[in-house]
Amino acid sequence: MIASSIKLAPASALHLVQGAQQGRGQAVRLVDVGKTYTISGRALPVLRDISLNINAGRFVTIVGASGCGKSTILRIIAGLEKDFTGSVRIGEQAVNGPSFDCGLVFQDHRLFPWLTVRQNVAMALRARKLPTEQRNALVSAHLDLVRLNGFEDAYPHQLSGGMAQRAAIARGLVNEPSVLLLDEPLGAVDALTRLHLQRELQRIWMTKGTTMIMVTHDIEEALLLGDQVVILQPRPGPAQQIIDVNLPHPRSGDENTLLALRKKIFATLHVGDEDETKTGGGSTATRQPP
Amino acid sequence: MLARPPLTRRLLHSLSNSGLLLPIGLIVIWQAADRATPRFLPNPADLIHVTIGLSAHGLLAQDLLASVVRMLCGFAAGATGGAIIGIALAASPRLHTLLGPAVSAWRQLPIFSLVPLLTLWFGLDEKAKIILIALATSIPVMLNAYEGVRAVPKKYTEVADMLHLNPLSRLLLLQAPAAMPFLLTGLRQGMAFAWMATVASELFLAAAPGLGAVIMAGQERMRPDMIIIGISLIGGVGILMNAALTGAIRWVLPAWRATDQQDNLS
Ligand SMILES: Nc1ncnc2c1ncn2[C@@H]1O[C@H](COP(=O)(O)OP(=O)(O)O)[C@@H](O)[C@H]1O
Ligand SMILES: [Mg+2]
Repeated sequence: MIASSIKLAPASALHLVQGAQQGRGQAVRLVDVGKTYTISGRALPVLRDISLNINAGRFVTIVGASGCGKSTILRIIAGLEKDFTGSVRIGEQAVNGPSFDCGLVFQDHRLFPWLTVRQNVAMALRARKLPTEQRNALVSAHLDLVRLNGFEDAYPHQLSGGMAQRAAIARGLVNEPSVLLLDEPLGAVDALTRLHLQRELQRIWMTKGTTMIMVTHDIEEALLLGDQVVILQPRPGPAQQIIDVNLPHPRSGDENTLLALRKKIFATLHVGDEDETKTGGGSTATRQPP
Repeated sequence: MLARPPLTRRLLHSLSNSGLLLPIGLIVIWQAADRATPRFLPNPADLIHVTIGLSAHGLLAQDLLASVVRMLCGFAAGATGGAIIGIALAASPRLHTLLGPAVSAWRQLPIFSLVPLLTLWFGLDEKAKIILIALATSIPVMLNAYEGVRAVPKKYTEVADMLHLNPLSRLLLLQAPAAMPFLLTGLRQGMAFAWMATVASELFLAAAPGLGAVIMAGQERMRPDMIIIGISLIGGVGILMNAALTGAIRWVLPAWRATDQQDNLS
């Protein structure tokens, strides 16, 4: 029950911002996407027949055992993988390289070690011609958001893993892409800060209307945040399964629907998982009994 | 008295630990063995005597200063040029196809083979010397800068791609800092090359104050003592400058080091 203690912002304020949620995000469509890596001459199929239809402004979460290709999907949508089959579109545009519309928070934080936290975040705004003042204000606001005040001038090696990941989240959020991809962004974040950031992500998503696609190994988190939860299973299981979560945001995490869906997902994963090795990776949540 | 070894033993021990035992031992043996042949090999006591004599007129100091200034001028020019060319070659594929072959031919060329040409073009004075030093410096600096930029980890270039950094931002925020450890290695090699070229230029390219000139004068006047003093000063300055640069690198690099360690852990 990670999410049960979330404190919600006053409902009235959230209704106000909900009005602002008007399709700033863009739709993301994957049709029959497949990806095969080559490791020392041998073909290693990672993804096959992945089709996802993500409407503009939705929050989609992706769960699955480690190594089943979650990061690869995000990298393909981000335009970092050139060599895949099928088609990916953001809005009307076919993806064939990194685009301005799409941001990615990497699974490893990837802060530049020679830049301070503030400089790392400000770097994301370089491509936008903003007045210095406005840029500084945006950076400060986002560092506050991820609770890194006081560490603006620290270098990445002076941060803990969770703090570095938070700085990377700030870097991903600060230039407000219309599609934001998050690869296990809260994986190394401590439990309390995670609650805060889950709530903030909900709030930002509701305010900005960004399309968010987030990989997580935490099924409760996936249900708390996602309009849809995509379950990826390693071959030879079904390519993907999609569970709709028809509950209004913001959610607290202890709604009955979520609890029921949680059971359903565990059951699904269990059925696909007679073989221990498939859950063997980093995914603690899937190892719980149904 | 039980626990403390005798003073001489302790002295010997600390000498051997600091690596000074061998050179000091050699000097002692040299001084002791020296009898009848001051013409070819002066003994250490004589050398000290002569050094003091030469220093008294300010001559040695003048030579030393001339060499060091010359070297620093050539080093600064060569390092700047080498770094710029190396980074540009690595950062721009077009430049690389254009200049790559010429550069790899150039790096194979023994630099001192250029001396006659430099003499024809620039005469025997300061200009030719500094150009030679700069060329010698530029090669290791350029190669290391090039390697450094080529070796920027993909995980960081992907971040730059996602954030659409323009070429200038990419250079300033990513390529140059990522190449820094390589660049500093290049600077260290470049400084050794620069010092070598300084002395060579003073030997090849005629008379002006300098430690090379001291050696040449020693040869002309059949004064092995002057030659040995010259060589010792050249060696000493080389060691000092390398130590200074190494210190500077240690001071600059911790941030980079710390990251590498973190990356290895994860
Ligand atoms: N660059 C690569 N080259 C070869 N194989 C890769 C590469 N990247 C990922 N893989 C392989 O693809 C599979 C899926 O990786 P990934 O998408 O990172 O999984 P996940 O994020 O679900 O843990 C893994 O088996 C991994 O070994
Ligand atoms: Mg992953």
